[in-house]
Amino acid sequence: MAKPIICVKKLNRKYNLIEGKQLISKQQIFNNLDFTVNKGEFVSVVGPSGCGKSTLLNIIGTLDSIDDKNYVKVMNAVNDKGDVKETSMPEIEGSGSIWVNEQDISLLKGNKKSEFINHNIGFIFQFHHLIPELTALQNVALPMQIQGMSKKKSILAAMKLLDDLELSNHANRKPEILSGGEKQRVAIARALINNPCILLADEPTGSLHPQFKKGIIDLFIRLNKEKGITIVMVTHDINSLYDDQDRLIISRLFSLSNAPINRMSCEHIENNDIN
Amino acid sequence: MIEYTLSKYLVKRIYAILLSIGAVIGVACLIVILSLFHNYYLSSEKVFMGIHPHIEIHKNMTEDKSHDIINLLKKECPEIINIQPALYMKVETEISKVDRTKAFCVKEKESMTCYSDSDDSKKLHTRYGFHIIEKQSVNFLLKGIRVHKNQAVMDFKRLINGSSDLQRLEQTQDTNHKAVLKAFYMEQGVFNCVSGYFLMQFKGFSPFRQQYRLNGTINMGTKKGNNPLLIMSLANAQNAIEKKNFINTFEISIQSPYHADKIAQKLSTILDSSYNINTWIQKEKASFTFLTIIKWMIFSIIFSISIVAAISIFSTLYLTVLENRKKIAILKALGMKDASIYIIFLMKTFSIGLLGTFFGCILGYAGSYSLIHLFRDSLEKLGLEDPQPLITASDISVVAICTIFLFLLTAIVPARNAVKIDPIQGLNQ
Repeated sequence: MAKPIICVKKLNRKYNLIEGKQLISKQQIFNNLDFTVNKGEFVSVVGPSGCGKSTLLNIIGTLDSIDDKNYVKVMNAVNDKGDVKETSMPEIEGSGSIWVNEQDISLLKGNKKSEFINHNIGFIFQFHHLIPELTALQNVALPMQIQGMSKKKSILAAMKLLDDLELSNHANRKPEILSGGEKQRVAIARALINNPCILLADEPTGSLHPQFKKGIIDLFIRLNKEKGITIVMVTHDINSLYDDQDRLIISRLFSLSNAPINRMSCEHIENNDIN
Repeated sequence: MIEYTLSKYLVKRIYAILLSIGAVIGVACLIVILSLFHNYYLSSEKVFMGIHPHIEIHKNMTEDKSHDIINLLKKECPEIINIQPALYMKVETEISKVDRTKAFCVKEKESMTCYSDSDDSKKLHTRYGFHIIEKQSVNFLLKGIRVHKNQAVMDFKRLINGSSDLQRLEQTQDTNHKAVLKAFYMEQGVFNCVSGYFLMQFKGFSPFRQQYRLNGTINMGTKKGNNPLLIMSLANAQNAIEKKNFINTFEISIQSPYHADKIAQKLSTILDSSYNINTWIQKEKASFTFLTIIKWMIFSIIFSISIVAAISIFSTLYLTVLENRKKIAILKALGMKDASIYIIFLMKTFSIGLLGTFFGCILGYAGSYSLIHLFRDSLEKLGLEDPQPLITASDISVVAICTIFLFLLTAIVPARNAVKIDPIQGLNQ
């Protein structure tokens, strides 16, 4: 039986939209969202813009919290009778529980949170987010050095990884002279260096030229199959998840929207009701 | 260490260079100011210690009786290094600088008649055969002191222009057993010379002029009293005012001059209330207050400079954090701990502070050396005697600690802001 590695239960999240001192509206992002990913799965989260795909990924990766009770605004709320009353209100309200790799992430704070990210999660962002002053090799070695590994060991490991991803020729180049696809592969190498159990990819092909997109998706599939890494990928480009024979090339799709998805093979999609 | 590597990349090189230059200039200024202040302080202290014994006890008595007091104090107070009887007195003096070489004397039947050879007429020129060059009436503070092994209780040897052989004060004969004139020291500036022959008459004490030779002058810098100093041996002073065997002062030197007040208090318990006890610190209280005010003024200036420096460091680092929000967010997304982000900024400021201190000290030394070299005359006129670039290890330690502490202090808030950066907002920047 497959073992769940990410388990999201009854996730609720809403934003209090405040303009000046007035509460304008409350925007519901997640409503009792349940989402489970088993170990070794490659799941793509899809949905229209603004439906919370990236937010979900960030919450799973502990970059964002379920709610933000510390972020409180003092404001004049207008009640049903039209009375204006000064009140304080969190801008973000949320509830639910999220377990990642058998860890309740709501309990993670400070250094434990940082260690958790460093050891368990590999982030890949749409705009690669490499540090421009560092070479490709230094960028890849960075998470390992953050973990406390020596410079020599981390550089050796980074070199090996770049070699695996056919980037060894670019090791000493800075990101500015790499192509979009190369930058993203360097970012993937950086995400993989600490052997994380989960790769969280937020629109990894979003900023790439179409000729590089397939290469990145193929690389994810290879990593998923060969190394058994669990991958959760946010994308709005569903077409890239199908092969020439219209077969889904990943484990499954997870949609955050009820709206129909512009793709023939919609039977693979799980829907999450938004009320 | 990854924090060190990142600190090099996160803080722009131009900012680091500007901050380093600021630190170097700041430290150099501090070193120059401290060096000059040291010169001023040491010059003042040298004069204070030169013209006063550490402790003075005043009471009129005979020299014979003074031995008992000296023995008592030596026995009861082991801190005393040297204690000698002395005669301090303000005296109205008619003092004349004379040229003895231009006169010759002829022994006649009953008396001696002296003529000036500069006078072609061979006419009698002065009663005593001296050619008077300059005559003044001065209210001196006469100090008749004892000299022991070429040392006086007052440490005025360092202030002497001319012969510092204090034994000459008590000398009555030369090596050929011929009588020599009585020697004395005088405060610099009364006459424009450091040696020569003088006639002195102490009004109210003796109707006769006596012959003296000036052994040297005492350079007191800017420290000028109401009564210029006139120092001679105790015996000569007693003879000058015709009070043989009379003393009115005990001069005392102690091991720790800055503990003079404490020792003076102890001495007051040994002696009865008829003895008047003073210390050099009490006597120079106004001067010490002045020095303290100068010291505080300098510290105020340094503090103001430090505040300006702190604001510039703070704003530079604040700007650095703002510019690097995205990079900091990336580091957070890679699992960098808050402490490490703190360390990145603190390490950068620490290294800039350290670099600034090192090169600032070198520049400060070179600066104070050049400044003193270029403006030696002006500084000497201001009262700094033989100014030197004085930089002590404690100065360097204080400057280094203050600079690095200031840098670290001003880095705390920007570093804290960096730690507080929300990774989501930072990445979306």
